[in-house]
Amino acid sequence: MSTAIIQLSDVQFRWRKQDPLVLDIPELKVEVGKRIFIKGPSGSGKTTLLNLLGGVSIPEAGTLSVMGMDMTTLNPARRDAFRADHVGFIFQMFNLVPYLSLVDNVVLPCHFSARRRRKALDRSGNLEAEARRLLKHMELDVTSLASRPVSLLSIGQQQRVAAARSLIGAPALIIADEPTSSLDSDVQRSFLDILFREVGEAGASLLFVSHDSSMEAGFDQTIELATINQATPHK
Amino acid sequence: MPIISLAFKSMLNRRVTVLLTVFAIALSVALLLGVEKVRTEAKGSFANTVSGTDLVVGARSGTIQLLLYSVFRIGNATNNISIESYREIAARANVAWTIPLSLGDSHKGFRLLGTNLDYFNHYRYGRKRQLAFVRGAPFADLFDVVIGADVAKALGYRLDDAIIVDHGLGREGFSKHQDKPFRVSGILAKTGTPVDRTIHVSLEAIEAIHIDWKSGTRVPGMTVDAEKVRSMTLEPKAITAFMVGLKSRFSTFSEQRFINTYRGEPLLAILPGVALQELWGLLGTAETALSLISFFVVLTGLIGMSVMLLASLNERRREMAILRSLGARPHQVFGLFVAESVILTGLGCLCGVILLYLSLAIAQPVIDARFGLYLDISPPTCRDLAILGLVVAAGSIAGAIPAYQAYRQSLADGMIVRT
Repeated sequence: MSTAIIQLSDVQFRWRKQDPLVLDIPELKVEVGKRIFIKGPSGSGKTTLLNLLGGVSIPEAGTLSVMGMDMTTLNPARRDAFRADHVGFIFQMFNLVPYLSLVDNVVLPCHFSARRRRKALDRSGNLEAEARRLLKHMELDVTSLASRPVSLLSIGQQQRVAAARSLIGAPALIIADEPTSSLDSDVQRSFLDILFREVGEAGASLLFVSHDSSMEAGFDQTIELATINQATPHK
Repeated sequence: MPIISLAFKSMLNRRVTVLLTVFAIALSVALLLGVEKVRTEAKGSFANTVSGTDLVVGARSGTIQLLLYSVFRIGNATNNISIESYREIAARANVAWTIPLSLGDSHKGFRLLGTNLDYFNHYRYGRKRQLAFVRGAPFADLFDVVIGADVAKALGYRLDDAIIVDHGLGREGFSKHQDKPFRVSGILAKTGTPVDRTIHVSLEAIEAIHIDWKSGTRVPGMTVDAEKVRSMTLEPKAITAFMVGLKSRFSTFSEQRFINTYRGEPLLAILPGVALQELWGLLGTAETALSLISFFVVLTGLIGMSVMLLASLNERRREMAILRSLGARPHQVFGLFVAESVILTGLGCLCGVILLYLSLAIAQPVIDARFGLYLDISPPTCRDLAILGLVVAAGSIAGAIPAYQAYRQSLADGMIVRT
C-alpha cells in the first residue's frame, strides 16, 4: 500500500442518482515513481477519473487513495488543499490564466499551497527564480517571452509553461490530461521528452491520459481505461 | 492574499470595462454626496436665516405666510398692524427691543423694506451674527437706502448712487416714484440670507413715497416734490410686521399668548425657530425625493457593475477551472468576484469623492452668486463616510450575485470545462 501512489478499489461513480454509472473500477494501482499511460477515447470516463484523483469529486462507493490518503474520508476543503499540495495538473489547452504574466502563472500554485511554496523557496530562494529555473528547463527563453501576454505564446510554449507550473514546489503526482493533443506532431515528442526528463528529475509519478496510442512509447505501463472500467459511459 | 492580488490583475486586464464601471459608480457616488451636501447646507442656511429673535408678529394669518413675508420677504401680508398696537406691545415690560418691518414696494425685483435703525442693531442671523457694513452707514437722511450684498452686486450700485423706486412689486413697473430719488448710504456685507436681496429704507421714507398716492395710483393733480416732503410730518400709520426680542426667554409663551389674544386687532405671534422647522418640513418632500433619486442612481451604478461581472463569467470559466485545479476552493472563487466588486466600488467611491470636490471647487462661486447658498468645502463628515461605507457594503452585496454564479459554475465544472 505504501508503494502505491494511486490505489482504487471497487470505485463507482455517477453524476446524478438517476444517471447510469460512468465509472466502475474494481482495481487500479499505480506505483510510486512510475510513468503511467492511461489510454482512453473521449467518453470513456477519463474526465471523471481525473476529477476523482484530484479530489474534486468523490466516488459513491469504494475507496480511492492518493499517496496513501483515502480521499473519501476528507471533506471538500481538505481535498482541495490536498490537491494543491500534492498534484500538478496539465490540461489539453487553455492552461494559463490570461491576465497573469509567464512567471506569475508558474508561481500560482505556491499561492494555494504553503507546502509547495516552501519547497520552491528551499530550491531557489525565491519563487520567481524557481519559476524561471523551471521555465528554462522547459527550454523556454524566459527573457524574451516574459514581457509578452501569455495568450500570445504558441500552444507548444503554453503547454511547456503549464508543465513548469505543474512541477513547481515538487508535487508527488503529475497528472497530464491530453497535454499533447493540441500540438503539432513534430513538437509532441519533444514536449514528452522534456516532460519525462523533468518529472524524472523531480522524482514525481506521472499519470498521462490520452486517446493517442502513438504517445505510448517510453511509459512504464499502459492502462486501457476501457478494460479496467466496467461501466459503459455513454459516448 | 492571492485572491486580492488576482482580483487586481484580472481587473487590470479588463481595463476599459472596469474604467467605465468605476466611472459610473464614481458619478453616482458624487451625485449622492453632492445632494447630501446641498441638502445639509441648505437646511443649515435655512435654519440660520434669522436668529436671536424671540417672536415675529404680524396681522393674523398663517404661521408660514407670516414667516414668508417677514423673514423671507416673499409674498404679502393680508393686513397691516396699526402703529398703536405696535407701540403698545413694544412698550411692554418684558420686551427688550423690536424691529418694525414695512414691506411693499420693490426695485428691479428686489424688495423694499421700511424699518428703523434698530434693524441694524438687533437683527441677527446665523449664529447670532450682527449685520455688518461693507461700505457706508445706516440711513441718516429721509431718502437714504441701505442695500444688501446681492442688490449691490446684481445692480452694480455703489455708495451715493441714485435709485428710483417702483411702486408695488414687479420689475420695471409702469408707475415709478420718479419724483423722489433715493441715495445709497450703505452696503451690507453678505449674509447668505434674504437680507442680501433687500433694499432697506426708513419707515418715514415709505410714507414719503406714498404721500401723494392712494389705492395704487397717483392722486390726480397732487404732486409733492422731494423738498416739500421733508417739511411734512411723515408719521407711519401702519407697519406690516415686527420682530420682538425679549428680556428673558421664559416670557416667550406668555408674550405670545398676550399678542395672540390682543384685543385691539387680530394679531399673530410666532416663534421663528418653530416656524422655520415647519416650513422646512413642507420642503422636506422635495428633499426626500432628491435623496431617493440619488440613491437609485447609486443602485443603477452597482447593478451595472453586477451585470459587467456576470457578463464576464462565461469567458472566465476556464480561468476558474484552472484556479480550481491549482487547489483554489470554490469559496475562493466566490471571494475573487466579491473582492473585484469591493475594489470596483471602493475605487468608484474614491473617484466619486474626488469628482465631488472638483465640482464643488468649480460650482461653489456660481451657486453662491446664483442661489445665495454657500457650499463650504470641508472634509467628508462622519455621515459622508458612513454613506461611502454603505455604498461599498452594497457593492459587495451586488458582487455576491455574480460571485455566487461563479461559485456554482466552478463547483459544476471542477477542473475541466467541458464545451
